[in-house]
Amino acid sequence: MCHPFFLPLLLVALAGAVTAGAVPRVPGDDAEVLERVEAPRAAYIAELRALRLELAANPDDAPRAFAFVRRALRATRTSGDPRPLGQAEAVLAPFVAVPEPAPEALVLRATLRQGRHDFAGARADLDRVIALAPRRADARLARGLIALVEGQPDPARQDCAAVLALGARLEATTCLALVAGLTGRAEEGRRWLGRELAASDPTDPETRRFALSALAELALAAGDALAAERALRTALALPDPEIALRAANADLLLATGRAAEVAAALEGAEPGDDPLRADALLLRRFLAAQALDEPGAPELAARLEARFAMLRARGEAFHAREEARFRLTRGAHAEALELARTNFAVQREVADAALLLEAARASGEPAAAEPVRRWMRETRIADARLAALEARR
Amino acid sequence: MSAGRVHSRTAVRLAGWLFALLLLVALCFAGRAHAHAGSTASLRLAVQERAVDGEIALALRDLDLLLALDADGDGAIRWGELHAREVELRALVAAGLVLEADGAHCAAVGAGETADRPLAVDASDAGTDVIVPLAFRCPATPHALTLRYALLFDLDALHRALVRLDAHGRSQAAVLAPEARERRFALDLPGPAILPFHLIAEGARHVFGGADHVAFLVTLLLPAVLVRERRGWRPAPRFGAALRATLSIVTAFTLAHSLTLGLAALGVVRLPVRLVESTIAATVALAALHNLRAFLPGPAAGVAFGFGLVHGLGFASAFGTLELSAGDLVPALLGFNLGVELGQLAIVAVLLPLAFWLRGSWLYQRGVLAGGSLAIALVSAVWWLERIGLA
Repeated sequence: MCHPFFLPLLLVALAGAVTAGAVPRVPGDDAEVLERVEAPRAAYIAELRALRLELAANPDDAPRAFAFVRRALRATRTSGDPRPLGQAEAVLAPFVAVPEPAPEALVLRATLRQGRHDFAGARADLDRVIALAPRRADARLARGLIALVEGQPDPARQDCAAVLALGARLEATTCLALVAGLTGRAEEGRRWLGRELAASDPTDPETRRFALSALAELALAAGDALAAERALRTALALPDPEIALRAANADLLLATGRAAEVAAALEGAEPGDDPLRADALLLRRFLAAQALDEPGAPELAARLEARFAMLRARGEAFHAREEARFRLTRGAHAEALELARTNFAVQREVADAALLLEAARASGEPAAAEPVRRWMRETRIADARLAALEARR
Repeated sequence: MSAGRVHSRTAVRLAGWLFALLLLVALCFAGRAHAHAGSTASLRLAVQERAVDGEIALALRDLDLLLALDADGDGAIRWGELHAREVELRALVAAGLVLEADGAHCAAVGAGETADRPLAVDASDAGTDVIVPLAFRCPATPHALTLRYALLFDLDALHRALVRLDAHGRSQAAVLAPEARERRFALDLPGPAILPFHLIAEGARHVFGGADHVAFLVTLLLPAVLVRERRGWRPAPRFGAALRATLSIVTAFTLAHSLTLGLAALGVVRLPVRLVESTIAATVALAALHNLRAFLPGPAAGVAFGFGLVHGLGFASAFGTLELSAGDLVPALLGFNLGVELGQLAIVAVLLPLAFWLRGSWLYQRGVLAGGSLAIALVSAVWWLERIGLA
């Protein structure tokens, strides 16, 4: 909502426009705070700062550099702030620029590349690691998950089976269950994963969250929204949930007609955490506001527009899924279709397929969704959401 | 009138709007935390002969990586902490930003000389930026300017610099990235031989877009296939005669409106738009009435010339909305005017053969010429009333 004095002040501002004051200002007070670089804004900024200072004193210390990259990756996943990714890439650069980089350096670079949807680059790094160190389960798992994101069940199954053989049971089962979901056997996948989750050691929250969100995804594929919600709630209760998980939870609320619950569900655990900083969460907040016809919806839309404009200006294309969804709800069907098409060429999860189906239908170009149908036939995927969209056709 | 003045006036107006917009944004976002955006610097440069001036906006969060700005370690960067590091900051920017004019280094003017342009800050949804003024002096007026930028790439591989370069009234944009740190901008204008085609289209569109110009031209051309007699009209004997009459009218109109369009566009003549627009409506009405009953002195070409002077001022106000800079003015004016002429020619090409073919008929003389002129007179009288604010 805008400030109540919005209109009068706007008029003053417009009057000021005639005499034109400068936009940027020179502060008068030395004590004026310009920017916060620590809590309450975000603890990770201070943590990364401390790690960077340590690293500056020991620039050749690979373990320190890798620790920075891992912390940065976690910071981006849990905050939606893309800055740590860029800093991590810069910190990692000298360690991958050598003729024979350490496998760990390549795995980390692959993860960073995946973060900006450079799947080919990430796969090339992982191929190198697996050739050097075939027993690295994390590299096999990462490569399997990339194949899943690209909607290719066969290579994913091979890598995940190797992960199982290497002993990482919960990770491997999660991956294999997702492969099962992609090939029309979601129910089977749910059973395996449920059993494995019950049997596995609950100490590692990150892996458990990964398994639980996969379980939710499979439940949705089977049309079981209740089970999906249960799994998501359990996952969200674990410490430091990822932005993607919070977004998935909001999506479930939106899909089940509970837009009114979205705002509260998006609130973070930390008091200084504003969920709307993250583009993905701002989008869900807007979708809820639009569904409820809230007066604040246009302002949220304007903020999203500004962020998409910035991403475009920077030449970044990996927001296509989010922007396509935004354009679709704004009635810009042709733009949405173009974005959904571009997006589906890069990533092929159910959400991407559903988006292209919807955009094609909304713009009256059913043939534009042909790549989705071909992919559905090839994988033999049986997904309740896609089936519902196809039934509406 | 100098390019600089036009530029700065536009800049002031733009800055005013931006100010309003930012206040609007600020009011809507009051109390909000910032967006999570990738590290982005925005660099604006303007070339004026040997001088290249501008500014760079850098996020405080990024500068904190370079300078560790939070001196007292309280988790907040204060204005005093930034201000105390100003010399270092300016030196850092000068080292990370290199300009070359046709291969020759442009000297960065030091902090002392730009002290009249202090550091400023600018808060937005994406965070607080520091705005550092920039000033370079090149050895000669550049034909091409090469920009090399390396400010934050070693600290953030996803850092991007969004560049906007203004030179000779033209803006060029670029995005600099770790793998694209250098950008060459060609600054030379295309010679006047190359006409700006979009302006030709703009000129033609103005002829067809404004009903008053079409109405005026039609009013002048309708009688060109006839010869006026004491009572009524008789058909022109040959097509050649009608064509000559048409050409003399069109040429006179063209000469007149080109003259005033040029004078107004160059700022020699300046009249209130409302006065011009209402007078144009009046000329259409008078020309139409003159068809019904001759009362204006002189030949038709004379009428076309006299009234054409007013229409040129009308074209000038449309031309003025195109927001061109002084450097582009002459080729633009030629292009726009050529568009106007082509638009006219199209009207003549359709109207003249048709009118010549029908000229002997009762339908043409009573219906088209008299009836049409009456209708045009009435409609343009209404325009006139509207434009002087009476209707």
